[in-house]
Amino acid sequence: MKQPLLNLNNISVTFKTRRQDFKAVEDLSLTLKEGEILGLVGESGAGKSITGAAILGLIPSSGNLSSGEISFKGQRIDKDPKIVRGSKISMIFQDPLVSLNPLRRIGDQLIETIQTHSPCSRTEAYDRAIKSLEEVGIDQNRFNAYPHTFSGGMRQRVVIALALAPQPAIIVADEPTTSLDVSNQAQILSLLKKLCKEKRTSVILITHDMGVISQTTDRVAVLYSGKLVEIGITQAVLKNPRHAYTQSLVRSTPRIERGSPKQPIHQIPDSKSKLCPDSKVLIAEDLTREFDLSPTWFYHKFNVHKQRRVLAVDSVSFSINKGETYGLVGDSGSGKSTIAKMAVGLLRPSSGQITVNGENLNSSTISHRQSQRIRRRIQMVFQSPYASLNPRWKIGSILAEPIRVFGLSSTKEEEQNRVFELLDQVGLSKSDVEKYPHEFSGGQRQRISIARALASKPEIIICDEPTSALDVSVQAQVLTLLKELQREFSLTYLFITHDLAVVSTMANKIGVLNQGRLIEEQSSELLFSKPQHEHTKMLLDSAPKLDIA
Amino acid sequence: MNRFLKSDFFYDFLRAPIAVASFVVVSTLILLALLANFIAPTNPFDPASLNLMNGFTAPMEPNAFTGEIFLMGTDDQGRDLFSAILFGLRVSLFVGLMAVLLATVIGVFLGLIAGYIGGWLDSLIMRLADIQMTFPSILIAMLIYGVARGVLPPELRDEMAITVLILSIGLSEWVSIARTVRGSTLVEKEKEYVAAARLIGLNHSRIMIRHILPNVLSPVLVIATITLALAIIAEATLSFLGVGAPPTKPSLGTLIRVGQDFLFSGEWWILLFPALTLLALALSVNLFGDWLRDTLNPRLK
Repeated sequence: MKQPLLNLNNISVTFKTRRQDFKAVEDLSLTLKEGEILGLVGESGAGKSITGAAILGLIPSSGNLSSGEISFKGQRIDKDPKIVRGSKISMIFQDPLVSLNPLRRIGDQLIETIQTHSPCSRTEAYDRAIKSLEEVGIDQNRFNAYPHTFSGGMRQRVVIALALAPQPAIIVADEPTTSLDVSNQAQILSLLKKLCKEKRTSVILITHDMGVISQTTDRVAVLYSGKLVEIGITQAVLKNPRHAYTQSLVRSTPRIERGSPKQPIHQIPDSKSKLCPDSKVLIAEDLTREFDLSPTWFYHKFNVHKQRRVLAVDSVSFSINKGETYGLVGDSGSGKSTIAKMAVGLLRPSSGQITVNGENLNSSTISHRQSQRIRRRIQMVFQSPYASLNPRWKIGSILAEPIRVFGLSSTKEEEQNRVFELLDQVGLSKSDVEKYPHEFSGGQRQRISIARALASKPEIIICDEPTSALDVSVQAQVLTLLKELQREFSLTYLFITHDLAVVSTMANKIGVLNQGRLIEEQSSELLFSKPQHEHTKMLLDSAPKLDIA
Repeated sequence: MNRFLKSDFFYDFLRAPIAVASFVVVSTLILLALLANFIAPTNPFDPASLNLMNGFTAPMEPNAFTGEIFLMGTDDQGRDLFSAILFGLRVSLFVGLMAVLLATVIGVFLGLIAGYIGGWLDSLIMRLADIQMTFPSILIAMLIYGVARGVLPPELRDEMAITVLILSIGLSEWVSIARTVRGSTLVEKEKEYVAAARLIGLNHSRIMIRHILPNVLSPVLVIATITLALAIIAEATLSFLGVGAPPTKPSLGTLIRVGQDFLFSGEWWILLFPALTLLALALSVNLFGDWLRDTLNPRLK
């Protein structure tokens, strides 16, 4: 049998912590063949990144390779990884914004990398650098540009060029596209795939996204809490997952549902919604928001610089019926979050208006009492489960605050019972009131965040990327919870996301935003089966899909 | 308390010899200062109890005239140095702590407002801080001290000396605290929990005090500790220069000033013991502050 290119034999990585030693990776064995793309998939904390770091000998100093061996072409490298690091095995990191040196021109960084690993003259290195830039699709007259002049996607191309420049045999790519939006992600992945096939470079692709795995890799290894639970040909594993964890991972990955009509929620018997089944509760009319980018008040007061203005949201109009979910999708920077902020009154529109049941929260003549009445009806669930809860407050106080501020309970006991009720509704236990946010996982925190939004018994909830920071299995739970709550309390959602698959499972109607403009608005079924606008088609094509066919 | 003993913070503390050592030194010194009334053999603030015949007694040697023995010797007035150091320590610590408290209150208040409200108010407060930073803080302290002395009637001067010291040091050290608080506030106010608080219609002062303030306090704790060392040294410097604690109520700095007159005439102990005490105090407060900073900042771990 042919010797594998890279062989991990029963490796364990142990971190010493105060209470006990923590095994991040346990008895993991893997082989990598030449020219193969191997996917490492699992949720955060599964040990994917640590495995990647172990191969390059880059385990953080508090941990170490406690057992097992790693060999490259039959030669052990775990004792002295420097002989292969960079030259034979190189790495692509997650965040392209920080993995390039911001003070040096990209050309110089390329030349330095090439010269470090193969002794050659500067002109020879220059030629090779130009060639490698061309390979990743960057024009050679950008050779002397600084990293900040590139977009995220282009920077990741430069990083790939850097990784490929020393002509390594293996590339370890740790979540290379996680911080990019879908259209960039698709381009980067196909580029990586193409170059590696051409050069017969093997890739270990670390990701949490089953869609990426399905479209890019030849084989996939599934990790769960440091252990390898399943490995095999990608298509076979996705079609016939054997381990229970893999099954749940495949099941919880949201798919873009085409032509599967969702039950409109307002058909569910409910006295109020029966009276006016199609009442519009949230209406945006010609909503526009400009941002002034001139440096400080001093400058724009005295007009030192010409004012620079950016149109973040440009005459957007839409409306949401009671009990429905309206999905807003778009790339980063398309103005999604700005609309959310204007809806809840955190930002004033430059022109146009957004009204809740006909009342305008941003109107300048509104009294405090009136605005409190509107605020009670419209609440928000935020993106980051870490920043959205005050770390110094107990869960009980976090949930009690809106109840108290809106005066929804007259006695201390009533308030306490309401907090218990809220915790129960989002699937947490009563004993959690005494805990602090850091004692919960990301998914649980998002449940707390939902409970806080529910505390004032609102009619509308704005969900701003509520699951984008969560693992797929947790994401599925949170989405299910949101749907259940919607049915129970006939809530109206404005659901903001960049993930088309998520929005397809949630929304009745979807609006596509591009550079502040609403370019397409369709019912969920129509949008995915017959997209009208070019940009929508492009978004749909580049979304990673779980092809099991 | 039990929770504190089990916390990572306490665990790290026990495993840092420098932190434990400096903490022990600081707490011993604080305890000595607090219990000075009971420990000190004489009351150095009471001129009537001094015996001029006891002047210049060397440590642990019987006095030539009275035969009395003093642990650390006496100064030119016959004052027992050990007692003077204990009471001086109390003055130094009191001035240091109160000055830091004053600086912290001013710094946190101005920093929070500058960071949260922003705009012209932010520019105003921060430019004021910048201007103050261009002068050495000891100069600011001397300026405030000088003005206060000029305004106060002469009979009140010695009585008010300590208050003036606290004011002048406190007003010269708020800048670093204000800057840190402003920085942390700028970060915290963009976080989503603040947006959530605004969503339910809380007013700005409640958001500042109830939500943001608790989250910006941990860097303040670190800076306050390091500023404490600075304030103690500033107090000693002012007293050494003769503009601080009066000789009738000496602080460590006053004792050092008295002692340096006799350094070359053979009575070395009058300078040495107060100086060593000041060194031990300032050094251990500083080391403890450094450790606190490293521990509370996960990026330095």
